[in-house]
Amino acid sequence: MIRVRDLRVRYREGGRPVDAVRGVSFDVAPGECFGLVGESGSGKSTVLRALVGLASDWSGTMSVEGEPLGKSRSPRFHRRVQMVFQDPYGSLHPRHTVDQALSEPLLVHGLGRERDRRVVQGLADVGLEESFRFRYPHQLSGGQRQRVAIARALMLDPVLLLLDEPTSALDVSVQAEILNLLHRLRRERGLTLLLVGHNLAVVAHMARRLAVMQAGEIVETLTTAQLRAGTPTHPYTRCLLDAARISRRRG
Amino acid sequence: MTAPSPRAPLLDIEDLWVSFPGAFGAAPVEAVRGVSVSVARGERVALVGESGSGKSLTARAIVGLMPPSACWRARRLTFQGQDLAALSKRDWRRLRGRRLAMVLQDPRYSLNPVMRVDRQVIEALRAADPTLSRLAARERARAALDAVHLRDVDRVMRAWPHQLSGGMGQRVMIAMMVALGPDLLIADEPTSALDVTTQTQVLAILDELVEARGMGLLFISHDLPLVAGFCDRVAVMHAGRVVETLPAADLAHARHPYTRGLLAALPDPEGSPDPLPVLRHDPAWWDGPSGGDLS
Amino acid sequence: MTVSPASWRAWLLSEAPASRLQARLGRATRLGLALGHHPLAVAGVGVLAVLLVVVAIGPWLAPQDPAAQNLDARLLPPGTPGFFLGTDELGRDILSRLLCGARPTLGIVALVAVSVAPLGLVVGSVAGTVGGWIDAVLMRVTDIFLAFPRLILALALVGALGPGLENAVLAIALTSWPPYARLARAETLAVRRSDFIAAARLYGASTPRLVVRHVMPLCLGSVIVRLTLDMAGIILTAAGLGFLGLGAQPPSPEWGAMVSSGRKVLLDHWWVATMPGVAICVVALAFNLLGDGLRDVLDPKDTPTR
Repeated sequence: MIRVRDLRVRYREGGRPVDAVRGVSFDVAPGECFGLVGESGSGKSTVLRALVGLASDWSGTMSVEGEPLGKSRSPRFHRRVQMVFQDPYGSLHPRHTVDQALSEPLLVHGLGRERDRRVVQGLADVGLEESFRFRYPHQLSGGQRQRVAIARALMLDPVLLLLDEPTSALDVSVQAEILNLLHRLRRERGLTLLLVGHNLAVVAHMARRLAVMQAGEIVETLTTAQLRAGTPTHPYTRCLLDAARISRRRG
Repeated sequence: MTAPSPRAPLLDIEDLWVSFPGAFGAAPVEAVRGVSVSVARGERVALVGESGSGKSLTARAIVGLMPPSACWRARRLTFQGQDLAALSKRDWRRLRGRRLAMVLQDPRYSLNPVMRVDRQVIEALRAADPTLSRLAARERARAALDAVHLRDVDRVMRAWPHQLSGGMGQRVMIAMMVALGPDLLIADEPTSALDVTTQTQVLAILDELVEARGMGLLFISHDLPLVAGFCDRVAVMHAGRVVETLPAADLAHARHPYTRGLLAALPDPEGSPDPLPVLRHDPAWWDGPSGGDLS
Repeated sequence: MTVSPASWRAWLLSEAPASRLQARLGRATRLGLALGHHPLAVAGVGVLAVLLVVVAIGPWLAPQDPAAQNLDARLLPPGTPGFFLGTDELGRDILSRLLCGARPTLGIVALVAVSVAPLGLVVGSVAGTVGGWIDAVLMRVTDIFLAFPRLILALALVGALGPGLENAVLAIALTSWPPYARLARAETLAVRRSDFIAAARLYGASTPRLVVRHVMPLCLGSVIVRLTLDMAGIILTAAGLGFLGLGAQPPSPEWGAMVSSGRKVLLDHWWVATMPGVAICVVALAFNLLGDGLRDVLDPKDTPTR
């Protein structure tokens, strides 16, 4: 589904070029949930942004569904690949109602005729009642906003969903709900997921396979079975696992 | 009034209420509803809850930094036996920093962006103790930054806040607060903006301060397992009330369904990929009996 | 079913609106209520409401013909029976002229407002969203206009086009849009990197769509606020042009022109210039108060986040 080879991404910060991603390669099979774990500044989110075309200065090869990606993305790409952002407060337009937010992708792709049916269906799919349809983001809780953001990403029936820390801004109880929702959607729709996160426990809960990133490079790729068996080899992975374990054990 | 005994609590809150006027004439919103917490010298107490549980407002009430529209009352709100409600502005200034300090969640918003780090620390020291000379203050600042295990202290002191990473910034904030040698430190989510590895280091610094100086620590957090591993006592807040207070070691045997639900909702790196149990909020928690102090 | 005011209110402020219309009205109601809690803004709105009434029915309220000259009654002081605010140097009733002059004066303001705000909004949000050389070109043009003092540029334009109300409007409009473009661009830059813009790009929204549906609504608030704060300046510029004889032409009772004609007799007959001057002041103040209130209400930074 996704094939990334030797991806390098560079952006400018205060005039100085910064190499955010330095030669990353990985594959994601159709229907799989693949995780990218790392701390802030490890370049994990930059990989997602490069994939969807939000970072322009990159080199290497990337392909989605066998189609190599160039500098711009086609309308077809937008219908097949969607993204959910970390901060549900920032990813919804403050002056658009839920109805507008969900209708926009349809209108852009000339599907305005099906608007009413698909918006109601989209809300139902993410477990929101129809009464939410005409609310503004400020009238919603964090978890509800993230559900709306997920619904918006699903409006065009994508096959690949990129998740950029989708639960890190949410409370624990809400996080569980969103993770369950993503689980269900993946099962029902056969979605391929690429999940980025800093919390090893969250990523390992969702993904079968994950890659650990540090300073723009993948230091280790392993399955969650290997993780559970306690065989990560890289010291950094061990460090992350220990941190996750300690907090769990003591709890 | 009796003289405070050695084990008398440093901070004693009893029945704290905070409310906001409702928008457009609606009924007032009660954000904190009858919270009682105490912190003794050398004790680490955690106030845990999800967003909107009133934990941060409780902390702000203690240091007297409430939003202007908020109304609060408490049966008792004392710090070292001193009634905080009766303090004048001048008393507050003398209290804050020197004896009662607060560290906030995000160092990016707590450090002045147009002042070098050394000047900020020195100003804070001299504001708390005007008799301190500039040179002495600089020495104290250096010692404080050293104490929080910052590598290359000289570089950090000359740096502008935007040149610091989140972990360094947070350590500077802690150094600044701790250099004043407070008796009680209130830390509002001091590590949630930090990465796992940095988080461990910051916690170790706080731990050292409690152990070495007998400082009291009130740790506000949403991360139940984290505080369970770090604090002595945990007060779990829900909808403005403390639903349960228990020794951190007993958290696994928590009785309140809310606490249990929170723990169960955490994904486990070694657990099954089954759907996580979802916390169902029970309206009975809203008005149920407040959690007593089990210590 | 009876519809009581209370149920209307509940319907408007509902947390779960049932239709697009209800959601929009609800938002407007919230803004209105918030503005209603701002005493100075309410005062501004009150003055402006009175003013609108004057614009609508002023000529019928006027006790005399504003253009009727009566050389026997020249320069009568305020309080003279029949001439409440006195008369000017041609014996025309100042009160009548003020009432009738509201229409041309505010007409200028309204015309300038509806031409300046959209122009600045479009230039600024396009420059901010697209970036690159388009941004550079648009902003340099803006800078060129900003570099001239406003009244001087307007004077030059009117001088070239010839005096008259229409040309005055054109001149003022051409000289007042640059700050709006700057403002809209600054607002755009602030939201350009936000996730909701990225999300819109990701579902394939074109740049024009991005500008019109996503960026402009966010710039609109500050542009409206700026506009209300600028109204005073527009009135004064219009008055300035009128005062220099380049705006409305006599005998039109435009307020700026009235101040101008009163200048000749200012020392001996202060009321001729002062009365229209006070009217300009009151209107400018009212717009300023409204602008302040709107800024407080529309600024998302000030809304409580609890």
